[in-house]
Amino acid sequence: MIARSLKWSRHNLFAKPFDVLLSLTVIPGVLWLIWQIAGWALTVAQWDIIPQSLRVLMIGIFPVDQAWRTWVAAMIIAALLGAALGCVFAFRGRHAGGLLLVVAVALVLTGTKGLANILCVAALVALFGLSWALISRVPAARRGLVPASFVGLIAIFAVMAPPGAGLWGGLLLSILLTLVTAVVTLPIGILLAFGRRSRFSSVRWICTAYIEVMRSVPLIMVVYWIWILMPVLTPQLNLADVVRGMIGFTLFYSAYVAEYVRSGLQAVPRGQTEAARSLGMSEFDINRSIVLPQALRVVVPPLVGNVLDIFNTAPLVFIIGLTDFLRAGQMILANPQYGDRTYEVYSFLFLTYFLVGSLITFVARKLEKHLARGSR
Amino acid sequence: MKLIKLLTAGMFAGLAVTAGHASASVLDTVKQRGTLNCGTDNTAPGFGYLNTTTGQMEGLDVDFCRAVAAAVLGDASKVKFVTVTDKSRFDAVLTNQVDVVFAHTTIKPARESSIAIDFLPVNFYDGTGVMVKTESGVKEFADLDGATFCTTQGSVTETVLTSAFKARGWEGSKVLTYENLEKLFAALNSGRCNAMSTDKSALAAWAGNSPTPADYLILPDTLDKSPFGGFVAANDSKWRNALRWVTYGLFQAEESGITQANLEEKQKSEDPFVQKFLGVGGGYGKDFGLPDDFVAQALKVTGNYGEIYARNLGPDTRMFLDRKGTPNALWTEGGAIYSPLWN
Repeated sequence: MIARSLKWSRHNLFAKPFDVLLSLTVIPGVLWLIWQIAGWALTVAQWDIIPQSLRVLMIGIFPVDQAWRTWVAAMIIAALLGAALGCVFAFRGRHAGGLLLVVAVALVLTGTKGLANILCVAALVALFGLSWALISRVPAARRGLVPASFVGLIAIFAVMAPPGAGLWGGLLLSILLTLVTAVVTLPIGILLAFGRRSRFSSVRWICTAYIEVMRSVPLIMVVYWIWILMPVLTPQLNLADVVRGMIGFTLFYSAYVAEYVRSGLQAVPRGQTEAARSLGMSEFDINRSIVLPQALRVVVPPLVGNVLDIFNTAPLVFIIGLTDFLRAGQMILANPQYGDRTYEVYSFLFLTYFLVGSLITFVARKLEKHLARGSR
Repeated sequence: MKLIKLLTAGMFAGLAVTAGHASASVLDTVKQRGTLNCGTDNTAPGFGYLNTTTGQMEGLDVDFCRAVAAAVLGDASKVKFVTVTDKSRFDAVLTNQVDVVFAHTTIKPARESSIAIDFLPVNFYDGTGVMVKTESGVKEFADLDGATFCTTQGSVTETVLTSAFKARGWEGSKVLTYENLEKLFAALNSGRCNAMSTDKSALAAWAGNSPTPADYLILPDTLDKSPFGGFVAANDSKWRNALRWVTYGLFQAEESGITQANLEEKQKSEDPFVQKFLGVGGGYGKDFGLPDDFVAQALKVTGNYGEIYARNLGPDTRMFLDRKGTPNALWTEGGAIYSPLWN
C-alpha cells in the first residue's frame, strides 16, 4: 500500500524538477486552506442558522400551511429526474444504498422538524428510486417519458399555482425554472435547428436571425425585456413574474439548444440521408427516423451541460424580483439578527450549488462514455 | 449607460401611455381590483425584509405598504408585496405591475424628470455618515484632517469623501476601500482606518450589533443627503395625492399624539380637528376618493410614523437608529418630519 502510493506520488507529483517545485508549493497551500476552512467550519461557524431558515431557502416565502403543495411538486420533480436517470443508468442494488445515505443526510438537516417532514423526505427519495428502477428495468416505459414530463410540469403548475405564483421561491424555484427551460427548449431548439437547414430561404433566414440575435445578447437583458414588454404588449394576459422569467429563459436557451442540435445534425454522415432517400422515404420520415435519433445521440452530453448552465444562471431572475435560491439566502441575511452569518449562509449556498453542479457534470460524463460505446 | 437607461425608461413610459392605461387613475383600479400591489425590497434590513421567524415581511417600507392598503381598501391584508430590486423598481411602476413602490429610494430630480415617476413625501432621511472609535477623541468631522477613511468599493461614498476633502483643502486625508461592510468594520477595529464611512443607517446597525457599542461614535455631520421616498407613476395626481396625505396622516397623528393604542379613545374625542382627522362624522378622505376614516384605518394597522419608526429602526431594534437630533425626528423636536396643515 505504502509502496504503491510512494510510486504513485513519484510518478504524478515529483516526476520532474518543475513538478517537484509545483507540488511543494501547491500541496501545502491547499492543505493550509483546507485546515483554515475546516477550523472555521467546526469551531467558529454558527450553523444553527441553516436548519432554522431551511424552509425559506428551499421554498422561499411560500405560505407554511400550503407547504404540502411544494412537497407534491418536489415529488413530481423527483419522479421525473429518476425517470430521466433511468434512461441512462440501469438501477442496481448498490444504488439503493446510496439513496438511503441521501435520506440520512436529509434527515440530519430536517430531522428536528417532525415526523411529517421525515416521511416526506423518505417519500421523495423513494419516488426517485422507484421511477429510476421502473424506467431502467422496463424499457417500454421510456416511450411515455416525454409526454409524462410535460404532464408532470403542468401538474406542478396546477398544484403550485393556487396560493399565487408570486410566492414561488427558493431552491424549488431554481430547480423548477431549470426543469421547465430544459424540457421546453428541446422541441423548440430542434425545430429551430431544422429551420436553419431548411430548403425554404425565408424559414432559414428567420431561424438563423433568431438564433444569432439570441446568442449575441446577454441572458439578463432578454429576461428583463420580456418582463417589461409582456405586460405592456399584452395587458389583458397578466402573466406572473415567474412565468415571464421562464419565457425569457426559454427564448434565450432555445437558441443554444438549436446550435447544439445543429452540430449533431451536421455530424450525421451524408450517406445516411442518401441511403434513406434511395429507399423512397419522405423528407419528414428521413429526418424523424434516421437523422434526428443519430444527431441527438451525439449532442446529449452537451445538452446535459446546457442544463447545468441553466441552473447556474437561474439566480439572474433576481433582477425581475424573483426569490431564487441565492436571493433567498440574501433575504435571510437581511434579518438584522443574522447580519453576522454571511459566511455560513454563503457556504451552504456554495455547497448546494457545487453538489448539484457536480452531480449533473458526473451524469454528463457517464453519459458520454455510455453513448460512446455504441459508436466504437 | 445612464442615457440608455433613461431612454428605455422614457420609451416604456410612452408605450404604457399608448396602451391606454393613463385614462383611469390607479386609485380606481386598486379599489376595483380590491388588492394593492406594493413594490418593496426583500433584502434591506429595517426597510423591507422577510422575518424568518414569523414568515412575515417587515420593515419601514413594508409598514407603509400596509398603511396604504388599510387606508385605501380598509384592510391591510389586501396588500400584495411584489419584490422589486434597485434595477427593476422604476420599470415595475411604469409598466403598471405595481401600484406604488416603497423601496428605500433616494429622491433625485433626474428620477422625476426623465423616468416619469412622481415621488411621495420623504419617509426616511439617510445620508453618508462617519464613525470613529470613541477612544480616538474625535468629536466632529473637522477633527479628521489627515485621517485615513475607509468605505466600501464602488459606492458613492468614495466620491463624497474625496470631494469633501477637496472642499476643505485636506491633502493628507486618503480613502481606503473594502469589499464589504464586514471587512470595513474589521479595518476600523484593527486601526487600519481612523474612520469608517457609509450610510448612517448602516453605521448605527454595525456599532449597535457589536459586543461593545460604546466604543464607537457616529459623528453628527452628514456629508451627503439621501432622503428616501415612495413613488408612483407620473401624471396621476389623484393617486399621488391620496398617498401623500396617507403619509402626512401618519406624521400628523404622531404630532397630535394619536397612537395605535389610544386610537379608539381619540375617536371619542370632543376636539373637532381630531374628529375630522379620524373621520368621525365626516372627514378629509372623500375629496381624495378615500374613505373618510382613512387615517384611522392606517393607524389601526401600523400606528403613527413614530411607532412605525420605533418598531423597525428605533433603538430597541437591531438597527439601533435613534431619531433624536436627526432629521427623522418630528419637526416639533427639531427634525424634518412635518405634515402640512390639515384644517
